[in-house]
Amino acid sequence: MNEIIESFFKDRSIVDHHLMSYNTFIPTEDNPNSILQRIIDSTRISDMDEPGEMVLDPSKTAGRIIKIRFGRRKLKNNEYEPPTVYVSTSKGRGGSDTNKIYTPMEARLKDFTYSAEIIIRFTVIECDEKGENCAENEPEEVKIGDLPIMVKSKLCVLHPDNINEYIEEKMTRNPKFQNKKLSYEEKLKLLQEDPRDPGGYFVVSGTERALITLEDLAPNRILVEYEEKYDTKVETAKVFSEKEGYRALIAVEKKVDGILVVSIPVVNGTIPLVVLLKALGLEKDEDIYKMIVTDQRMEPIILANIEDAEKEDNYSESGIKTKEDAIEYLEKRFAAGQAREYRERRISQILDTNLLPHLGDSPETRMKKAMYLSRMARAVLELHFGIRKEDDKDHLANKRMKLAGDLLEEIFRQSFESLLKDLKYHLERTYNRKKGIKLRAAVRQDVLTQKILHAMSTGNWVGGRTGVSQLLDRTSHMSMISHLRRISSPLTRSQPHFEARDLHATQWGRMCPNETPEGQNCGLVKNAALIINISNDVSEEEIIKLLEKFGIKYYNFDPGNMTRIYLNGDLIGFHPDGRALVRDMREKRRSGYLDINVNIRYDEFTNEIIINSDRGRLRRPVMVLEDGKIKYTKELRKMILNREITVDDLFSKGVLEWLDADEEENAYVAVYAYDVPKRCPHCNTPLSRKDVEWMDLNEAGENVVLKCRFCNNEFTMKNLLTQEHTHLEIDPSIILGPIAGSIPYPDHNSSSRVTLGAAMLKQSLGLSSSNYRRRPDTRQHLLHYPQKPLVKTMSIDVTGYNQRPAGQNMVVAILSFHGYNIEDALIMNKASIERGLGRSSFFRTYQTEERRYPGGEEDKIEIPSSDVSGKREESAYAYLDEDGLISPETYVKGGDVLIGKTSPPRFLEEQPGLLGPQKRRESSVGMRPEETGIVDSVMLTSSENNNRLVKIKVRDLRIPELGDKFASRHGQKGVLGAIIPQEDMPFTEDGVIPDLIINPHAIPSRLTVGHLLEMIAGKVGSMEGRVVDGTVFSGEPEEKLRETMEKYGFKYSGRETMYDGVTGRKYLADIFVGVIYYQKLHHMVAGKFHVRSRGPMQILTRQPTEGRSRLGGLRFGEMERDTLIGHGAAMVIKDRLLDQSDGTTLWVCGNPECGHIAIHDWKRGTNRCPVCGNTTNIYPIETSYAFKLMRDELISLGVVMRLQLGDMK
Amino acid sequence: MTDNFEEDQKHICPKCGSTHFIYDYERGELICKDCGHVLDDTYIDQGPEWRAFDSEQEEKRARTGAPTNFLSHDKGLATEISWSNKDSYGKRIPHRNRAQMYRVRKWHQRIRVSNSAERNLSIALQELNTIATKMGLPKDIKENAAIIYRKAVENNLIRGRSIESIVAASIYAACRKVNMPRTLDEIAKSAELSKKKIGRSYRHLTKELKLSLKPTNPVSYLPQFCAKLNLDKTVQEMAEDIIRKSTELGVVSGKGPTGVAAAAIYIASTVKNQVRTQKEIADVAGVTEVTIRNRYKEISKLLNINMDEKEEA
Repeated sequence: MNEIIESFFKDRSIVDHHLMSYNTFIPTEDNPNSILQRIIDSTRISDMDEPGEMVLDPSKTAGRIIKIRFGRRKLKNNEYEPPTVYVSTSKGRGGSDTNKIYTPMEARLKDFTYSAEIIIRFTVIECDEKGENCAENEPEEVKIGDLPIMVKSKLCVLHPDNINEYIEEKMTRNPKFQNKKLSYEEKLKLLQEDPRDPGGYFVVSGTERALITLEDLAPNRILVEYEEKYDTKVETAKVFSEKEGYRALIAVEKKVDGILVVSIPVVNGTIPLVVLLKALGLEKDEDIYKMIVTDQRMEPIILANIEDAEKEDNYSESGIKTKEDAIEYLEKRFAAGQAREYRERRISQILDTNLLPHLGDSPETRMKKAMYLSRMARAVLELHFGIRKEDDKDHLANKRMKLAGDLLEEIFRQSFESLLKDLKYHLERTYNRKKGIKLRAAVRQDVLTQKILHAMSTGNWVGGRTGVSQLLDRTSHMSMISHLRRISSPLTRSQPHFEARDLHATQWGRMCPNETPEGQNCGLVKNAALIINISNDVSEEEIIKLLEKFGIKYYNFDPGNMTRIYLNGDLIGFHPDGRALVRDMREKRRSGYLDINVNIRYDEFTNEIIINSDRGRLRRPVMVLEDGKIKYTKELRKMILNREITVDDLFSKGVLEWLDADEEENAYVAVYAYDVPKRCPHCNTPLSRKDVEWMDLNEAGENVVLKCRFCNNEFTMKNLLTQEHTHLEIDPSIILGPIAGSIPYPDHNSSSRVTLGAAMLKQSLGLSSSNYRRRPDTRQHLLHYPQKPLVKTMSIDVTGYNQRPAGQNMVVAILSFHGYNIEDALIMNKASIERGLGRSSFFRTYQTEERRYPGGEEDKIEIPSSDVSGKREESAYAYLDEDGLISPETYVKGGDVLIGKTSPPRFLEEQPGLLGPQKRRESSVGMRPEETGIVDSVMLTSSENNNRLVKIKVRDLRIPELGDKFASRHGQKGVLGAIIPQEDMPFTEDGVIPDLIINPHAIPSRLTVGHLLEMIAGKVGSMEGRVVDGTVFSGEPEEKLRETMEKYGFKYSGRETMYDGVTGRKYLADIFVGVIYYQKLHHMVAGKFHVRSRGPMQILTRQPTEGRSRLGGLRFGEMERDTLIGHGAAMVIKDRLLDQSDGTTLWVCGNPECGHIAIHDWKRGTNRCPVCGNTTNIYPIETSYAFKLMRDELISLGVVMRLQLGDMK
Repeated sequence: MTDNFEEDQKHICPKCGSTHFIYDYERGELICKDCGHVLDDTYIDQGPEWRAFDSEQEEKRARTGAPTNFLSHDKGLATEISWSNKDSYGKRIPHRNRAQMYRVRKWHQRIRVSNSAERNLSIALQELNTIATKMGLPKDIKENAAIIYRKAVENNLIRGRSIESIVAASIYAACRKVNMPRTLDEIAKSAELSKKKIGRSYRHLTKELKLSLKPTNPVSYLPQFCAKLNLDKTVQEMAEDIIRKSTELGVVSGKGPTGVAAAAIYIASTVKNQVRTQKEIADVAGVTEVTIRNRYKEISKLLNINMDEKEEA
């Protein structure tokens, strides 16, 4: 079914989920009911206001009632007014270049934020004191702030719908393009973009940022579980009730004595369930009983609960019998001693806003809430009696993915609220009847813009979550794809959470089983499988309408013998025949009458139907079976192959289907429809799954007809599909993600090696993007001669790996070599390196801005003159031109200045002349120490603040050297241990000299059979001049590869006779030689080596700085110190720990009463103790600065340490 | 080894008396440029002491607050009593003390603005921020304006004038000071004040504070006007050239800079065949068409520019 997978990615970005999510977020012409609009419609800043409106405080507006409307109102026919918010196309901002459209590349280069303006239509309604005689002013359109644009979304200039507008302008100006028709790819290139860039990220202040998908517990679902409390297990039902960004955890639990209690946020302690039900208006005991009890065993518990509440002197003197009693009890508990009015308001606030907010926030919804609580109570009791099992928190049906759009929703909602609060405050303060309301003047755009920008650039989201936005990983094309498909769990890294880290069965086909980091984040950070879909929300009305057609019944109480129907977690009705209803609903969906975002599950144990239509369900595609036959036909296959239809058509026709984890519980998915024989019965060629074609797809009966790809003869195999099967897997290989999927023969490796290989694939160097010369990334790598792998997989075709490869095919021999390859070291052929193997460039961009300071002073880019303080030696500035900038193609090394710059003196802002005349400071940008390179490009532009901005890119050639790290795709990594001249390398009978020699010990304990298979496959590929397919589960059979080797005169085993290059003697053993794809990883010696003799010191401790980038010292630690103690080398210890570290001379007051640190006047050569005034009895003491620091810190705590001096004995 | 590593200008080489020094940042040494004597070998690293990867780490490591900020009346040096009812040990404050804490907080908030001058500043700086944000001015101009305003308050120049007008005047002055002039019209529009009032306050400020602001160079208006008129770089460059030449010849001295800029754009756009009408340019530059006509006639005559010859665009 490869054609389906290929067609899926033909017209879709590999990060489509983010783009779709963002597109539903933003208001565009084809998206009037955007999420942005919905946020604005529902926002209000006081409980008194209608949603989407704001009423100014009449006491501040001369008694007049002034309403400001920003949201849409609902019209009578259940439709909305036209949108009140729109987003302008990408207009530039800042400095003098106002209104200039700019592209993502311009934003990257100039450190801009790629953003659009959000404009809201405000309507002011002015009424008189009584709220009558209202006059509605003409609506006013006001910009409220900027919204970052997702690259390649509908707002982006790179979107196919928008690109022409921008390109045309550019083309008409340039005669070169006159009357030329450009393809979309060529247009992208014209805008300096990589045509294969998937988009799906943002450009914030010049840096690319990815919003990481968040895996969150599903809101508004009841989850029952045992909770450990006071060493006993307590049955609890929990629900995260969520509405419009407000999240409340409501829990019902059964105490040890059988009393059911409810906990509500904001409120301290718990409330007895029965009391709460009564307060909500479920007064009659009979009703309470009927609501909860479905099983005879529950009866005594519920009766006891009711009696407990009604018992006198238990909760109140007369017992709680009526609604009034209950409310009085609540008032006494939560608003004791307050005014009556306040008490009532407080209780209704608890009941209406804090309790189950997703059911509504008006008193009318209280009955609904009572029913919901009863349901929770029933679930608790069902768990208690074993009717129901504990819910599985790690089941994907209980999880929702938050994508870029959802995350932006959170931050926008919060920022918009603070903008409105600010607006209200401002309007009330400046209210003037005559002048009227001046909205445009009162809206503070920067409030919203800054909040969004700050969150996007730091990753600190609402609710204290961090790491939501991350700097996009551009090491290689694959690492970028993986980064944009990452799914992170909010669980903390520090706690074990063993179950949450485990691979869950529901992750099959949804998340990659292998691609996860090792260590603390293992299993918490995951990656999406190859083909996924994240559901969008569908209006519930549409579904209810259909359910009514099928005869859904409404009862106030559970009739007991009918199937309960839940829609997004809410009980909406009952149906006599659940099984039939589910079948009919699915039928409707497959025939296009129901949105494909809806999923339905029938739970036969609890006799419940669960219908999901909410956002964020991670779903996987499967082929639909009807009566044991797939709906995919020969005709459809032909049309897919001819590109007459797309995969989307298959989904809407019900041939393919997206299953969420809930619906999959009902599915019985066949992995294969047939087995493939080892060899073709006609031509005897070893067969893999890809070598046969299923001829009679939907017409297959007892047997399936298969056609051999080699001899074109047909044969039959047993049909494995039965009547019980509901679905068929498209191809099992799509359970892996794009990264693990691009490893060949992973099904022959031990699982941990695949995980390791996937992690290393993301560190490999290659062609990360085709516009690498333009990109101003701070760090960037480029492999000079990347090759497409000789052994490919399906995932490699789909992700475009061959167009952006990151590795080279090497001839590898597995033998030990004079001990230079022990412990995973590698031997490389010197001649291969000289031919360009593993050669890469490293680019680093240095940048600086000519900043302006308050007081009119500014930085200046120039060669610092001799009266500048902190000047470096003259030779450091030698390469600078007169303008203070270096020229391209200059060879530079550590410490050389790239941009000469001076800054005004510090502390000059207000009072010049206070500290006497001051010199300007040197603030040049120099090469990082211990790095060298050649200046690649010099760019001068203006920044957002209209200051001069310089970016200089330095390139460094990185030829493989000892210590550089290389790895195959099977988790086999190693560092270069020796580079051997070609003539000393071993050679085969044919005279082939390997590029690389790895140690045989790397194989047996790690069981990376895939590595060996790839070597054989690579050998076959090189001999036949073709690319071998090594896709998981369907790679070319080993038998066939071995037979092909024999055909070309090699041994069946893959071993070859080899000769020692030095002596010319034949090796006693035959050596396994093959061709395998090796990757150069970005850990290179050139970026790691470090030495220091003398150097900078830390400001606080005056000890040597830490780290290579700061020219730091190498720590002489405790264990190192111990060795010197063992040798008795006291003077060496003193040298390391004192003289070469923070040794200082302190002048100490010798007065035994005092013992403080004295002052030594260097100029006069006199001493004085500032504490006791002593001037004679003062001595220099040698000690570490850390000691002095500790003394100072103790003094700051009010503890004095007096130093008593004595003679050395 | 000396302790005065920071203020090297005060150093004199003890060996040769020279005052020229070289910093070797890699070896951490301060060296006499003339004789090579090493004065100091414990150079303190000026880079960041630590790096924080999330807000938790940042909170742990930070030992200082934000830098002072002229845009806030107390320069951002205020203390705040936290809203969370926790004491310094992290224990909850008992209920009976809650009301007291609430009052303490309230009064602390109120006494933050201690006198009338402070109060004036706090109102004015907020106003300043709103106007400047509306005009899309960068932060450094805002800060410059704030400093000018603070000086005005110190010298008692506000008395008898409205806060708004002085704020607007400070912004106008700050823009001119950093060579990003904005017209009085623009500021008047954003501040919703009359041009006259702002102009009056501005003259008062310059006189009393002795802000010696040079007359605006017409060139500095060009990027803004050209962008608004949607003209490209070639026009802007040519207009720059025209202004430079005419300044040398002295035709523009004593003439309004916006008018000169407008005329230069008019000439350049016509010659470069990206014609904009006088009306369009006049609207953007905030001058009358008559002014543009007068200026462009003078300039084109003097520079010998034939406006009928148009270049191919």
